[in-house]
Amino acid sequence: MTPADVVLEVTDLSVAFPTEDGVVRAVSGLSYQARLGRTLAIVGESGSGKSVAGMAVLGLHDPRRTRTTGSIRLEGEEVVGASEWTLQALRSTTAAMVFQDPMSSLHPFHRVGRQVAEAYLAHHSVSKAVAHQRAVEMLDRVGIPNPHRRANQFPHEFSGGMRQRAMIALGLVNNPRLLIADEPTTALDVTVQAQILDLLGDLRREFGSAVILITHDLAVVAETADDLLVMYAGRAVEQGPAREVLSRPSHPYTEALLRSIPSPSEDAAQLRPIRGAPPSLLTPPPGCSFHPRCAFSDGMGAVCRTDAPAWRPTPGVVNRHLRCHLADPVAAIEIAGGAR
Amino acid sequence: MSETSPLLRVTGLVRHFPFREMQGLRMTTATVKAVDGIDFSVRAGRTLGIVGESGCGKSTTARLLTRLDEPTGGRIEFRGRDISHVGESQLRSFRRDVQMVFQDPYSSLNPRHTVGSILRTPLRVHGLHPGREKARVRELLELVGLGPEHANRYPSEFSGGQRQRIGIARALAVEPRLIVADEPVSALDVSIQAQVMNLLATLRTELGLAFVLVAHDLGVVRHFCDEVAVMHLGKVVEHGERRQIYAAPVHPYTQALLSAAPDINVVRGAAPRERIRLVGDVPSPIDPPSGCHFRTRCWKVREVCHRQEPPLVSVEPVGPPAPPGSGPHRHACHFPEVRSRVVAQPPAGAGPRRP
Amino acid sequence: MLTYVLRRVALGLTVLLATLVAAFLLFFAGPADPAQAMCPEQRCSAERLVEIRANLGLDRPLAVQFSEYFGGLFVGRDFAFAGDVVHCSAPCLGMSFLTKRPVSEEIFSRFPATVLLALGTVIVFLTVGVSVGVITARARGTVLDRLLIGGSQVFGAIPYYVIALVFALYLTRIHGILPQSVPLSQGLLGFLAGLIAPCLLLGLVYSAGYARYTRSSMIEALSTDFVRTARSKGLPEVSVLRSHALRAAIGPVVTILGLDVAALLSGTLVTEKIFEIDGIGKLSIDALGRDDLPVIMGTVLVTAFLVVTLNLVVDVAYSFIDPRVRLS
Repeated sequence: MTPADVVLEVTDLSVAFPTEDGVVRAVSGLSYQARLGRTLAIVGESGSGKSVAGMAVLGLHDPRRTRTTGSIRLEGEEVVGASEWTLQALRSTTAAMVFQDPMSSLHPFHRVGRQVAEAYLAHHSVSKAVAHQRAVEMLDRVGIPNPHRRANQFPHEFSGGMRQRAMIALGLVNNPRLLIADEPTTALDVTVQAQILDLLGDLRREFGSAVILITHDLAVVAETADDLLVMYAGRAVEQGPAREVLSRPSHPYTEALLRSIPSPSEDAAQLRPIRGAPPSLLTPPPGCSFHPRCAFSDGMGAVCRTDAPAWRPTPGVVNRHLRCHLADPVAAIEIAGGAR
Repeated sequence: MSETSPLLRVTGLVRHFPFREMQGLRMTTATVKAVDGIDFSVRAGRTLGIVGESGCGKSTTARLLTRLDEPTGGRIEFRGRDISHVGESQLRSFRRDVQMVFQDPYSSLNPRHTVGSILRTPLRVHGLHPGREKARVRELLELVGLGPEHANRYPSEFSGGQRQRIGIARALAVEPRLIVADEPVSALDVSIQAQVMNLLATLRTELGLAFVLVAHDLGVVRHFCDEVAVMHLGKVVEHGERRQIYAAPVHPYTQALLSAAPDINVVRGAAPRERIRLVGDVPSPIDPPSGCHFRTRCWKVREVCHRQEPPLVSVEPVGPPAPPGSGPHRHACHFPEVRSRVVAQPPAGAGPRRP
Repeated sequence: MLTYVLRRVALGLTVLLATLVAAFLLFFAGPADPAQAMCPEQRCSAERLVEIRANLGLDRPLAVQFSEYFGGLFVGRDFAFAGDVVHCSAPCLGMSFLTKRPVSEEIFSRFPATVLLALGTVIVFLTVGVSVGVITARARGTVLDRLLIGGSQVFGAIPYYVIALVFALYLTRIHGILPQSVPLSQGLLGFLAGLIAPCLLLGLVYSAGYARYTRSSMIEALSTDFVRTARSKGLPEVSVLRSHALRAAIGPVVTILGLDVAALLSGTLVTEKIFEIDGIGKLSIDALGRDDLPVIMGTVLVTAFLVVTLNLVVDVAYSFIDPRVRLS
């Protein structure tokens, strides 16, 4: 029985792409929830599967080229295997998405106002004039000056930051309960990034929606997210409240990632990179997919190489999950951090 | 040449790009003022970081420093010699001394050349190690953490991080004194960025290299650089020793940049930093604002800022004491003000993270 | 927008002028002797030839001849033929050596057939070709896609005249499924009916190419980020295909369309000959074979004019499709 504020419930989601060279398992066995009024950050590097997982929520993968199994429940409605018709009704109304590169994500030949209004018209029987008015309101709400004039312009007449604001307006025009932002600030300058992240936070508070922020930037997560899910090689490896996970990580990958990021506020003697490189999703390593790069796998015997660890509650703490064979991971990592 | 004179000195460096466009039925000439008069110097063995946002001119500066581009005005001196407008044949020895590492590991290596060929070419061009090129290639690969068997492969067989290592090996092949790295890690995954940055740091110590690092990531710059120059719309707005810039920045743009940069340390109990949010977008370098170029987004703007461009002046550093031998702290603002909380204060008792 | 058009018009006029000069130099300074051409089977005596040359003004300096020709385009000209003075009204493209009638008359009287043939062909290949392109792009990799594209490749590999002959033979002559062609003078309805077969044939042949251009353009458009955004808005698939994907993909098709229409309007020789349509293509080839220089010049000029005009139309149409073009 799920609580009323759970907008999205993902259970054991797997997304695979059959290719000529074999099956690419982009996402395997992913389970998580997104709640109203909270920002969940899904963090990972390239190949982690975070973007694929995000797009799966709206059913945006081509069913002819993708094998999706498991369950995605958006406000109770099942997305996996749903008809195109069901999906179209859910998109933009229950859940909406903001993409990474607003220059390529907006149609270059249509005026911005029309693109926002279109999302509204698709789900409300109103006149074009009413939809246009709503679009102008939304552009204003996201902080675009001169919204009437701007609505009649084309995307290439906007700056990068404004384009992203327009995309956010497009995403929120139907008051969705869930907004998925896929790397919304990666292509932007840092001062503009700060503005956009603030905007997303303000809008989330105003609309009360749930936000999923897909990113590779742990520093952004540290400052904006309530909950955190770390993905590696298509699987969730750690999950919990963001601040807790980042200050007391329980998975070796999370810890290693934290140690390899330089901070603007502190002199670090040396960065500690993670050895090796992210694995191929065609032929993942046996057992735990992180074990070749893990600082702890050597001391664990053969289990990391042979058995893939299960997703279980993190021992010793509450409201957290992880996928690792370490018996007392939080402590092990703290001790190792001290010894180093 | 004395030990204290700089390796590389740049004075009043300017690079304008004129272009013609149709305004109605007439052709007009507009100018992109990518670099609009900057000065700095780099001493042997030291690292200068250049930070700024898009359109600030840092990448153009990197190309000018390596003479991949010729300045429109100003002077570039390397080891006392003016190389600003020298022809290609006379740049030969300069090219041995100054090399560049590029941003995109996927497009900066010729996909039709093997790694070995890519590394041998600079040796041949400059007549280095004649007769033992193969051995030298092996040495170079080892220097960057790759194996000799990689020499026969093509760039497409390598990951982004490995390709960047190959690019670094190529730059090192001529035994340069100074390396200009233009966003060397921004195209790489986070966990690989640290690998490459560490490699650069190790090489710097081992080979006594000087560096100019152009980057937008303030964390990476703090970690790697001794001095930092902040660029905005073709000009240097603040320049000083690393800890001065981060702990006691004086120019409002530097303060806004530092305030905007997200910091992982907030989860380690660091005291929150001052929130400065700029309003509006980065202006275009084609038609920069009159007077101070930053005035359209500055919260302190007054009348003089519209009229007069603030000159770059030196001041006594205010923040933590500067290490001996560091240069003066310079800024270009009519109303400078030290703000020391734009960067999160590290948690009490925290020193450099132990290795 | 207006300045964009004006600039293009200015450019087009320059091209036309250059074509005119080049064609003039080629023909009137070339080896063929117009006077000989005017005499069928070389039955003229040497004096007669000199007289003809004088009448045609061929003994005057080249520059003078050119300026008379150029002037004639705007205000008309008078020609002296065996004592009579014939007025050739503007735009005067000269007099046919063979028929002694103004070239403009020869060309424009054949225009309806050629224009209607072109129009019909365009309608066929725009509907069939583009639709097949969209369908196969959407159904990429399926049996339907492979069948349709494979079929169009086979179709395109067969020389056109073979297809045309077979088509004409079986459909119009032997089995009479489609009516044969009939000159306009014998009635509009019959004339139009007679154009159905060639339009269908030519249209289907062009469709193979258009299906391929549209398909590859659509495949690219369907993989863009903005089409993904359109789907994420919950738009029906038809809307996504039409207003987002096709809208982005149609650019290259429009460009090629302009060139093809220009070619069609200059006359399609094989089709006209096989279906016995008296069009501009037939006129051009006959003139070429008989050294009827004014007619050749005239068709060259008319073709150049059509190409330039249609390129202008395509450019303007393109700027409606892609707003980034008109503001640059």
